[in-house]
Amino acid sequence: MDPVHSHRLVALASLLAFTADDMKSPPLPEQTFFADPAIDRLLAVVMTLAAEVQMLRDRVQHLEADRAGETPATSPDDAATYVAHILTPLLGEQQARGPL
Amino acid sequence: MTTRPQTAHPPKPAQASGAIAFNREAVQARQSASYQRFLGAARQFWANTMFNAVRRQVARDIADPADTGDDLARYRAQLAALPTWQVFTWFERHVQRMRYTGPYGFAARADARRAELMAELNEPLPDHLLRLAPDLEPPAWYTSCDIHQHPGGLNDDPIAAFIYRDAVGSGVVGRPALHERFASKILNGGTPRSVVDLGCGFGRSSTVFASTAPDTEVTGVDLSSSCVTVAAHITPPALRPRMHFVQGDAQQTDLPSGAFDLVTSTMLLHEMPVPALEKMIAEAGRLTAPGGRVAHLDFLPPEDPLLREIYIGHARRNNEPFLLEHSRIDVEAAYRAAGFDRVEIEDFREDDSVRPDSPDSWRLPWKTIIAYKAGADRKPQ
Repeated sequence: MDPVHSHRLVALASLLAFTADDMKSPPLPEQTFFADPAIDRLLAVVMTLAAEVQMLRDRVQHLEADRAGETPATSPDDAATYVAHILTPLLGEQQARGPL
Repeated sequence: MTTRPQTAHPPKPAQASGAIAFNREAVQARQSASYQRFLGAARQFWANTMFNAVRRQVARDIADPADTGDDLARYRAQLAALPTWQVFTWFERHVQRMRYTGPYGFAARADARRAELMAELNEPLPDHLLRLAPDLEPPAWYTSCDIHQHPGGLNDDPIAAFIYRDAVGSGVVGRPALHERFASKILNGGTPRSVVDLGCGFGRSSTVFASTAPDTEVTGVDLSSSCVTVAAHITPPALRPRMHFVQGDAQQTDLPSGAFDLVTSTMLLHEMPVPALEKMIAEAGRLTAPGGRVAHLDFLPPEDPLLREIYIGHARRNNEPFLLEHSRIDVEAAYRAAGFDRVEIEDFREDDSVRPDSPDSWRLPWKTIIAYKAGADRKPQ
């Protein structure tokens, strides 16, 4: 590795320095990524609920198929469509071009 | 309220709908599968759509850093302030957390099957296939952190390796041909008579080497008793006569000197601190026969500043505290000091669609590190 690259790496890595000793005594505070840690926690709740909705969707689909006498089937595409539907607003990009 | 006429929706026979509605185990299994399917889709969205949004917005709003400490700090601060970056990093941390934990996570799913999994581990094995080391004291760096956010890690619970196998099978390292592509690359350089696979986990890479090279003896070594035990039990019967799994420390195995034409590891280097790495390289030098090779599949930091920042942050977000350690040492010099005369470090593509320099989706920066040991008397065939 070139010295400049190595310097960059060490400089950045030092900002996240943590040691084995830091991790010995759980429970530690969860990592945070937003200016307000409450957002970290609320997003976790939203994602958990979204997962629960996915499970309910699959369960309803299963029961409907069973009731119709069909073989229940779930598709990864269904999950991808559902996930894109609920997560796209997180990207912060206009879906139709307009003023800021 | 109106009641729908029964003729429009006739009730099904009780045993048909009842069998599905009240089979609690089947329902729980379906719910866990559904939960993991959601997280798999979320992860794909994160690695593709969200990653590309981050790239677009960083290219629009943040200048690349110059090679000075101040400029790196500026770049990092601007990145941290970008909302889409905040969301992106949150998702890496928490999708992985959700995969393992909670009532539908891998840990709970395996725990619900504990009796069945333990029965699998109690099946008799040929004596040569598994050697445990009950007195082995694992290093503190191995036990002090739950790597990959796997609760409890791989050290204590006998079914931990099953949990690890479930997680790997649905994650970025679970791409079907990853190990096969690596083994093919290495075996193209000659078929070894004997291979030792350091940090073999549940034996995925060891098994691929054994199945790709039909006359080769393969020994897998791992600190985790759960990993080597599961590896031995899931080894296909046809491969068992040529395979061995040993609980041991890659820094100091008790395997014979010069006994292996190929010493390999898959995703081991980035889990070890520098002192352990240096000992492991010296041990690889001791184990490698004259004319043999060492071949690692691992990661090294990308050059692109954004990709590099994602990679560096992955260490903390995924509980991999030593991710950057092997990039801080001169691997080539370490291998020369261990008796090797040539070292090659190359990009590795985990599938044909990957573009390493400007990827369409976030990918780990795979590299192969291959060291060659001189010695004309015993070259790979």
